Amino acid sequence: MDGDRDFQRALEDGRKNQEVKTLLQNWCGHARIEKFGGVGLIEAQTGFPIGHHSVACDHAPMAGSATWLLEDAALDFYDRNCKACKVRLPLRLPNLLKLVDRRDRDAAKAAAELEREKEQQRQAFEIRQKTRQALRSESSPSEIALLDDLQQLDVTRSEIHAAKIIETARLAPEAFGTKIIEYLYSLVEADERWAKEVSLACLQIVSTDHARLAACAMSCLANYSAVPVAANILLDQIDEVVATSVEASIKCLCLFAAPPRDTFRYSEPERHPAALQLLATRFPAQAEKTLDKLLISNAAEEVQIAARVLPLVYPVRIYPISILRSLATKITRVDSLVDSDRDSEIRDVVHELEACLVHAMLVDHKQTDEMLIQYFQGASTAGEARIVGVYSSLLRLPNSRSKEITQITNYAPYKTALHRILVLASNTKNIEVIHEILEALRHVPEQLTSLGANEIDFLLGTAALIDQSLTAFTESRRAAENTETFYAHLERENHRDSLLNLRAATLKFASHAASSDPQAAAKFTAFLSSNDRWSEGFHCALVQALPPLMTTGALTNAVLPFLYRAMIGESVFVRMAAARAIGEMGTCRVRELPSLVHDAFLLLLADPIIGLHQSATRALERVSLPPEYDKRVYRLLEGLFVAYYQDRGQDEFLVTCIERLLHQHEKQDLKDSKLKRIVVAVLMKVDDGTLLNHSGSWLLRELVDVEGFYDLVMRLIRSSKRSEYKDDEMIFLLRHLPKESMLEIQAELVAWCKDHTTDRSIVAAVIETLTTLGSWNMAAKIAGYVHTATPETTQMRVRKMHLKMAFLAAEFESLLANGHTDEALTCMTDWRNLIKELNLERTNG
Amino acid sequence: MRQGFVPSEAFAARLSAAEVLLTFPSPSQECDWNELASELDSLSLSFDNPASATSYSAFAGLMRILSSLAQWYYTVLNARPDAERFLKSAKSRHKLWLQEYEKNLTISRLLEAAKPIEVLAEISDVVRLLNAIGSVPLPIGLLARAAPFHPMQMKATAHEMQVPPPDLTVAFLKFQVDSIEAKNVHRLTPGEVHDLEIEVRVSRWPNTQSELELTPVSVEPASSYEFPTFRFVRPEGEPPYSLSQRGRAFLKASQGLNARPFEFKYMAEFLPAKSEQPVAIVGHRTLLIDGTSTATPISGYVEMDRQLIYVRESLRQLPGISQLELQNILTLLTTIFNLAGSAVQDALFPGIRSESQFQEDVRRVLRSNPAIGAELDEHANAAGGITDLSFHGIPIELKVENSRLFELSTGIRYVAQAASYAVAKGRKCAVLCILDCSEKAGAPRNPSELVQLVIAENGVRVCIIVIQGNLRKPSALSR
Repeated sequence: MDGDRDFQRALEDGRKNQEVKTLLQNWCGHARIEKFGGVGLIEAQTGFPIGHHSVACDHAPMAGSATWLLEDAALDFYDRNCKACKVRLPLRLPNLLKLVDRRDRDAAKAAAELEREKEQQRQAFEIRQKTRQALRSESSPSEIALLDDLQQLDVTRSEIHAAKIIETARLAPEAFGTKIIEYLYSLVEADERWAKEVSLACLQIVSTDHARLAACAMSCLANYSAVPVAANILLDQIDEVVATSVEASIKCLCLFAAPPRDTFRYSEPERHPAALQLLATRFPAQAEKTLDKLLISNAAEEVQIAARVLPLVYPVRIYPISILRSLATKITRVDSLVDSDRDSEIRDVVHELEACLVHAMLVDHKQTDEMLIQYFQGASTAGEARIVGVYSSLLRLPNSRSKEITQITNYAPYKTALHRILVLASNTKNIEVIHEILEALRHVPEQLTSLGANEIDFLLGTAALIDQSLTAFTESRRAAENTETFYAHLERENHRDSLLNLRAATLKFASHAASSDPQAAAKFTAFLSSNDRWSEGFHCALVQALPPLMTTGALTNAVLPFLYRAMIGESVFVRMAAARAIGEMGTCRVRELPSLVHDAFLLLLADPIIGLHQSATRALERVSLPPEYDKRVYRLLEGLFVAYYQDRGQDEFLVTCIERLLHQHEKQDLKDSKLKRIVVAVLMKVDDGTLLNHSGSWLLRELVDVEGFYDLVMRLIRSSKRSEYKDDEMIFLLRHLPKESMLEIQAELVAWCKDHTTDRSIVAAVIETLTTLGSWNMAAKIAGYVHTATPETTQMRVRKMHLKMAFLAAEFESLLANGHTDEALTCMTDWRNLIKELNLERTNG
Repeated sequence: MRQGFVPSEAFAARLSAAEVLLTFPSPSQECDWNELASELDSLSLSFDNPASATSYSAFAGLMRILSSLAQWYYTVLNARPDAERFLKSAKSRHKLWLQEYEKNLTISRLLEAAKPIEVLAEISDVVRLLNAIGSVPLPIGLLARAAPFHPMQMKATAHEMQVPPPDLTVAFLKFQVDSIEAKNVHRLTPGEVHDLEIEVRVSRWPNTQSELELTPVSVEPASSYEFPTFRFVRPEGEPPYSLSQRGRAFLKASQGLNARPFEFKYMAEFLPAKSEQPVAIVGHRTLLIDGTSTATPISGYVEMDRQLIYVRESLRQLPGISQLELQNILTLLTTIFNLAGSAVQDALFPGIRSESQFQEDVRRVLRSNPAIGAELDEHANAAGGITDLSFHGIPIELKVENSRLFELSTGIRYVAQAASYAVAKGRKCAVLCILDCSEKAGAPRNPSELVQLVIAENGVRVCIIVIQGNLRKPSALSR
């Protein structure tokens, strides 16, 4: 939800939901609205219930479903639960009945309309029957049999009878006399939809009046009926088609040629473009006019239809200039030229137009490019972005899921697109355009690396120009900082980040492209050696772009001096970039590097500047130095651990540091458990949220056997920052705590479970773990708490019974453990009674 | 996030099974024990908690064994034939059951309760046994095992199902420079072409057509060296393959005295880069090349320069020595080596000299070096004694030796003193400079022969330099 249209619609829906909410609250004091999912920004700002909501009531036996429009959920809930409710607590008027009455009135109207239609159909059927009766008296036995089949088809409307009649036409065309043929024509011409497909299929076989047959087919296409058969007739009888009937049939043929994709199906629907292509070849002017008309329509659907079929109608030649112009106009000003209240619909239209223009670029990139750039001049901010989107989509096309291109034969269109976006990248100030370019450069397919290699100079030059723009922007930002508002500040920060990303993406693509071609690699390394008074930021970006280039030994060797200089250079930022680049290279490649590089990396790790040692430590999360460095790395990490433990306030890095330290500890197979004990003591002081963010990692599992770790587990279980997404991790820790630790905290766990009976997963895990350790009494006690805490409402009755069963199961084991076998058998009787009660509840419910 | 719980009704199987055992041989218990065991098995499969799953699975297995014992009990009581087969079956299955579970501590109570099966002989014991097993509590499983996220995850792909090929390893067997095995730090003369010979063994060749490339990787700029890249095409025959090749190595630039040696590491990879790559590259493949040029004088005396480079290489191997300390001692030694050379060339120290005179001479020479100048300290305190001279904490102990037949080895007795000063200053090396004023019977010796690096007892490296004084005039030697 990111545009004005969606915002307005959400606001409108929120207002409606608010009204329904009031009606529901007036209806019953027990009913309440429950939200499904989180609170969005619009909801937070307006206070309207926007999003999916459901209705709930403690006395309702059945739960309701959550819907976007609360009215749907409220009416459904009313039908299921409120109609026969005896405990309703009415409050005031108007109430839900207002909606119910309106719904019932609408339903009654619809039923009456349906009845009227049925009556009309009945009368029409009687007339048709009389016509067939009249025909029977003048027909031969074979024709009578055919009329009987038609009668059956009219009654049953089944495919079996339809197939039977068509098969008769195929095997015994002589059975179709003049009168029958005339009758079939009359059915088609009278727009009898039930018989149109069969009649046309038969007439295609038996009729000799081709002109009339073609006219019928065209009329069917104009009415969107019997389309496959009509399209098939069109292929046979194209010479008989009258030019005046073409325009009316084009839209239907477009839909047949390229059906829209089903929202709930991934696969592309089957296409049948032959008839449309033939018609467009035979009647080009009419086809062009109709397609253009569809394109300039205000209806989103019509624009999409036209955009989808254009590549099929003009597969190898450029679209007529009028159509190309319409496409460019539409994509530039789609927001004002298409009527829609949904931004998603506009996006779909843009997507189709983009694909259509991408095809145009592939067919004739020069003309299409000229046209698009003409429109770019006068386009709005969003319009510019949409035009750049065409170039961006073209560059990503070889990797497209639906149109993957494995071998590119003509690079010219891609080259034009790449040039265009690179030129724009260096001089645009439009943030949306920058995002489109970023999208293209971040996902350039493998097939286009050779293009990048040919354009390596252009890429590197563009990156340098982007850097200049960035510098200019940063300068202007400093000047404006004092006067701008908070939102303007955010916008500017966002713009700056986008430029940073654009520079990085351009250099990464250049580096990747250079790795595929020795000449390009030579140019890249020559550029690195030139050191043409780069800005510090550009130097950093260049260093971070190196890993994709280091694919072979020769390339690694070519850029290694540059990377090494960066590692030991004066600039802190460049050294940080070098540490990150090492982290990107992968352990295998890093271990292959000369020891001087490893030594330089250790210097980064040992550096007192925060950014440097933190970058180096984070790089160690992804790569490892050769084993001979393990001890030194361990010592340096130990130093960092001590420093960060004493100087609190950077818990996030402290935990990362601990992780790396323990990893090294593990690698060296040190038996000393002192470190782990210290780590647990330190972690006890680390912020819960930080620790829980890391709890999916190996760190906590590694410490599970350490003395005193149970306190940490208990703290995390109690933490208000723990979400259900961390349940698996907590359960793992509970299950793997040593027995003594569990016994140590069992009283605390029981007390916690008593207060948190709704935290079902953790409570269940505690019960399981306690029974595993032999504390059946405690487990039964917790199961009892959970059962008791569950309210005895209609809605919760069945759940409460299930909880009682769980309690009885735990109680049963507990009694056995205490040697009270007789009481255990009594428990069994309770269990059987409960099962009976539950079955009864199910039968009644 | 936990997705599911075991349905509570499923525990009926466990409760019924326990009830059947506890009330045995009550005639009211008309149920199929094997069916109960199957239900318990299904239940165990649904548990997420491994301990509960194991306990239920073990209990299910035990129920099947107890079923045979119950049949034995009723067959004997009803006087039906061939009752012993049930007992035999139960005992045999119990052995198998034990093999599976006896090491499992989570079911220790169940194991204990089932132990009497081994020695069961009378049907009167069956009731007691079954009642005892029925009264063993089991851990509860409430959380259900999560279903796989996607069925595709369960299916191994065709790629995964392929048997992985054996490891691809490249071992460096030989690394020779000018037909001599590459040393830890190998000296190459800059500006001269040298032979570099390499031999590798490859465990197997990747399936795709590719060649093996051995590339030198270095942090030095490409303009400073030219080392060969070795390429091998797929050899004939069966693996492992031994491959060797020779190339030319050329250092374009010489290095300064204080510079670290050039480091070249040979990387092995199969080309194209996307083909299979070695999982392990083993053996010596790093060349540390010293390219210090002896053509450019350091101390002014070629032979002394060689000694200086030798001392530098030895000190570099000293663990923990800092680059700065190394640089400082080399600065000192350069000047002292020059003094040792010129002492012979110009007979700088005629006659007998005292230590204080010698100290003055040495101090003057050292101070005149701009790299030392004011940084040279005199009589600094260290370890309760007074050093003669020191430079950035590196002690320079000066001695004058007048005894006859003085040998370099004689100077070792002063090593401990110099080493004590060094340790006190936190340094790892020291200089011991001895002026040999003994009566000379013959011509002076080559000063490079009077230099030695020794290791003191405390680990400090002490460089002993003997400066020859009291030299006889060459004409006097002819008389």
